Amino acid sequence: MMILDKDFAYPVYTEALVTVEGAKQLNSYGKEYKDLVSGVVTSLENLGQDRSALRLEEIRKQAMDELEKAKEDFNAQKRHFTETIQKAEKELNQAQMKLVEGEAALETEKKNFEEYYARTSKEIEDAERQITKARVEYERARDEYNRILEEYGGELKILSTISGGISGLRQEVQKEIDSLNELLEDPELTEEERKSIQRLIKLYEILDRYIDQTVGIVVDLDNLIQGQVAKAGEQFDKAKNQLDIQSAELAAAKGQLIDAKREAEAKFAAAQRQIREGWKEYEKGKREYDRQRAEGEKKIEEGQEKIIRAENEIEKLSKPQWYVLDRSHHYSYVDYEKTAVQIDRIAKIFPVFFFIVAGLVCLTTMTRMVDEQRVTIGVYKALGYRSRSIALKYVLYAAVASLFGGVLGVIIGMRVFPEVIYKSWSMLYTLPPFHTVQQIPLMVVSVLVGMLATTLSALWACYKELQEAPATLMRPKAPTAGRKIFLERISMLWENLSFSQKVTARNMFRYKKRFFMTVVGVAGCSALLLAGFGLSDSISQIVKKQYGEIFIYDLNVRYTALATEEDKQRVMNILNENDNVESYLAGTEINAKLRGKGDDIPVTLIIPSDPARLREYITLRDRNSQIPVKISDKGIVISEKLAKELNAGSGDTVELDNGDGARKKVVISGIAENYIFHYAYMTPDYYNEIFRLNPKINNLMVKLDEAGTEAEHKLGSLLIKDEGVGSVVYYSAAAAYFKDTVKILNSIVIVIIISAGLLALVVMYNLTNINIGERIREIATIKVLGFYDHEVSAYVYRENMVISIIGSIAGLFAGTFLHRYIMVSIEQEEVMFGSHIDGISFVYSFLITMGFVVLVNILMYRRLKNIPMVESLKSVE
Amino acid sequence: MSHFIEFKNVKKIYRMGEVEIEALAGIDFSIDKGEFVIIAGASGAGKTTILNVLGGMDSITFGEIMVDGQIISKYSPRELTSYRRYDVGFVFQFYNLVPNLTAQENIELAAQIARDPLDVDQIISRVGLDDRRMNFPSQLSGGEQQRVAIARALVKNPKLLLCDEPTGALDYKTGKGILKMLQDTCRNFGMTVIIVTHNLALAAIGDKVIRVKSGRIESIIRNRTPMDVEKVEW
Ligand SMILES: Nc1ncnc2c1ncn2[C@@H]1O[C@H](COP(=O)(O)OP(=O)(O)OP(=O)(O)O)[C@@H](O)[C@H]1O
Ligand SMILES: [Mg+2]
Repeated sequence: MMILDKDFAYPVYTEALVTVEGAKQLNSYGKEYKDLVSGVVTSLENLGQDRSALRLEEIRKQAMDELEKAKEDFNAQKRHFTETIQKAEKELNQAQMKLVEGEAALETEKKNFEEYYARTSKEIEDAERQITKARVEYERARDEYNRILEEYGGELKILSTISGGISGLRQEVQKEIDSLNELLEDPELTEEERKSIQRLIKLYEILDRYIDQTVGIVVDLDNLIQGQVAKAGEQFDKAKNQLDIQSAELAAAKGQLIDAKREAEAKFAAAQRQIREGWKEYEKGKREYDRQRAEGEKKIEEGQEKIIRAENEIEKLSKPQWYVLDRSHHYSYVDYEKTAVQIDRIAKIFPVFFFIVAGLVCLTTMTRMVDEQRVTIGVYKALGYRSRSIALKYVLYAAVASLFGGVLGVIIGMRVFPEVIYKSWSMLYTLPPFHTVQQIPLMVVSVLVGMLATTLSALWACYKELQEAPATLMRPKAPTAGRKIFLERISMLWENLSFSQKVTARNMFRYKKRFFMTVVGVAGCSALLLAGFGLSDSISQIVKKQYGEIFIYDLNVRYTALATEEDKQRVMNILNENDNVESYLAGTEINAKLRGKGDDIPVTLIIPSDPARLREYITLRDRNSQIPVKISDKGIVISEKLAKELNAGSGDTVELDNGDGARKKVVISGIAENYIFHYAYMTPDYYNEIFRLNPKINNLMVKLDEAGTEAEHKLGSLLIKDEGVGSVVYYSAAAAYFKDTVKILNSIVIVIIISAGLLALVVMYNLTNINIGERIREIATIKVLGFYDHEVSAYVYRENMVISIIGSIAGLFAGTFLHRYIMVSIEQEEVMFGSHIDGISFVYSFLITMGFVVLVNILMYRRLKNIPMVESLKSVE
Repeated sequence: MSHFIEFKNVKKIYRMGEVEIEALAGIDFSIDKGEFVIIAGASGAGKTTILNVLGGMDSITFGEIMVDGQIISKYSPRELTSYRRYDVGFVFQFYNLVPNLTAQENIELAAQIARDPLDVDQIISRVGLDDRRMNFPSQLSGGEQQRVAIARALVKNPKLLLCDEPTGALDYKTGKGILKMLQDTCRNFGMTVIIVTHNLALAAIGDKVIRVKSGRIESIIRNRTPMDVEKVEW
């Protein structure tokens, strides 16, 4: 961990490093050290009780104050935001209403104007028509006048008709004026309309006046006709002039109307434009409003989140902790101890097995020795020595021999084994120089146990011989009488065996004790070998499975705690641009804790941003059935070993501490295969449901096209340079670390192979020797019969081999159990070893064991070859 | 003229550290095919030694042994094994049956390595053990065991049959039966049979009697009218 200077501005000391007086010279894994330190720890812890209560008050008060202030701030801001947003909303609504209203008004105005325009146009047309009509009337009157003028008053009747026609016209005009006046009374008329209508009325009035004048003219004409006809022509011209003026005025009115229309249209277009701009303005305002609102809401949500987090923190504060950490809380210290304990456990299991086999070695060796001394024992006995003193001779011999052997073994063992293990451990740990501790009690016990096993074996072997009469003793041991074996009862099987197979089968069961000892010895050897190989298999298997099958991504990139969205985007861009990156998945990795019934267990909680894609990066499956385990919104999936440690299964409820101090109950929905460390998986939705918070994205799982140390490091060094990246973990490196552990174990495996082989060698050598010794007459006989050397050895060894094969196979079975037992014993808390043994290891164990057997047979071949026929046949005496 | 078996100045000296024991001190004799020969002498005379070197079980120190035209005394160990395997049948004083094999199996043990073995069942009938064939040696009397041993020697169809004190561990009557069987084998099948005994009374039944004393031949007597075993008393 690294702390920057600026983060050091903390008002109180939170840590003190304590050296306990007098602890330095003690073994830090020893009891004395622990006792000494734990005394100090206890008093410090007591001090902690008081201190932490005081400190809690202080901190909690401070925190509560701060929280209250923050809450107030937050609430004020929230209120302010709500107000602002409400005001903005109202304004917007008003603007919208105004725009809609304006639009509607414009629409009616347009419609009204159109109506007015249509009406006015029609009225102008009407007026035009009237003028035209008037002109026609006028022309007709003039023509009439002209005619009358021609006729000079001869036609007066016509004149009065004209007068009547004009009067009718006048009436019509008057009616028109009336109707226009009526129109004027309409209150909805606009100013322009009103003006136009008034103008029109004026026009009509002009027309009326004109018609009136016309009437006058007609009267005058009549007068003229009556008297002043001469003046009539002038009058007509005047009337015509008048009529022309009226026409011109009407035309002007028409022009005015057109102008009015143009003017109105321009005005309408302007209004329309204004409204459109108004809408645009409104949209812009609305967008701005939406943005500010969203921003504000997000800020409020964030604020709320902060407050919840803060509340959680304070909740956590309610359980104050005063940690007094001795070395047992130091990772490397504990790790080293764990590994030591592991070796210790292995060292406890294997000797049990070795003792069994070594006991067998002693027993067979002593039996052989006493067997060879049979005749001598017989002679001593015949000479009158007491059984006890004869036995003492051999027991003493056994005791002395085993004492020497034991001492030699202790000297070699104490030198070689620690050296081998120290060497392999130095690969992993930086160790202080090699320092031998004289394990006097252990040495004494080892030698004593060895002596005891040997002397007891000798005693037992002697005792059996001494039971017999001296005469029998001095003769070679009578060969065990032949007996039918159970196989012969199965005649189907027996009859199908070849002669030599029958002989082998018989011989195998002839010497039950030897058969049993051979099987045990050989089985012990192959079991030890298998357990040894299996040990390294299981551990390499873990590496293979964990980093090859379960974690199928290559890099784990973790953002710094302070990384912003931009930082994260930048890191993702680096990945997007890199050719070697196949894909990546963002997620949240939390150092959480889970608690079932016992203690808290630290666990890495992984929350993928896209749960559906998780299976491309991490394989979640059941170990036995290999069926995929799904993560759902209904619970968390936890790793297998974790489930075991929690003592919980699918459907159970456990407590999850999210690392921020919030502790919630969660349901286990599945259990996934996993070997190294503890993991828990959940979906963001479920996290949110449980903690009321969205998980903060803080890591990326990256898959590369081409994995491998070089490719990983190239990308990794690029990433680590980015200030948003906190750490980059390469899985090939993790795998390599575990491979080192495998190497250590491999050195132990070699030690096991050598020891197991030596044991098998000695046991087989003894047993084969005894076998040949007991059957020397039989072997000499078949030699006399003309068996070639290889046939003789086949005759003797065939059964040996079959028994060894049986023993080896039995050993493989025993070995699987032994291996399973070892694996369970050495398993650490956060690693699941499983108990996998490669198929090839069975083959190796079997072949190596048989190799030792064959080696013994080769060594014994000379002895077989040199058996003298002559002497062996002489007599039984 | 050449004999079937010929010993020429055969010496056998056992060296035991400083001490030299001359078991055979220059022996010469010959045996013809189909002869029934008795080798007799006191204990320690060297009878067994003669049989052993003749049977290819031991080497000689000096001289030459010829069997069927071959100088077997110059054979390598492997050639000697082949010689024992195909040409010689042995009958021991203490039978030396394989304890873990039944009577029949003991006979089969020899039959299966022979080049041209006789029928096992026939041999069993010939030695009169039809009803004991499935018994183990420990379940048979001494005489029966010796008959199994003879059958085991005969089944290989050897050129010569060597018997070292075949009746030594048997009672008079049983011994007689065994000797009869050996004599019949010689007479009926033309087998060369050599019997070692310290019982001089048996000299009467042999075609040829070789008497040994202190590693030397004392006398070789040709018996023109060998007696039937039944008629000999001792
Ligand atoms: N392996 C041996 N080592 C030393 N000396 C031996 C050995 N075998 C035999 N002898 C000696 O050779 C001599 C002849 O022994 P051999 O066994 O041939 O006698 P034998 O005529 O068969 O006597 P017996 O009738 O007692 O069986 C004896 O003096 C014996 O001590
Ligand atoms: Mg003898």
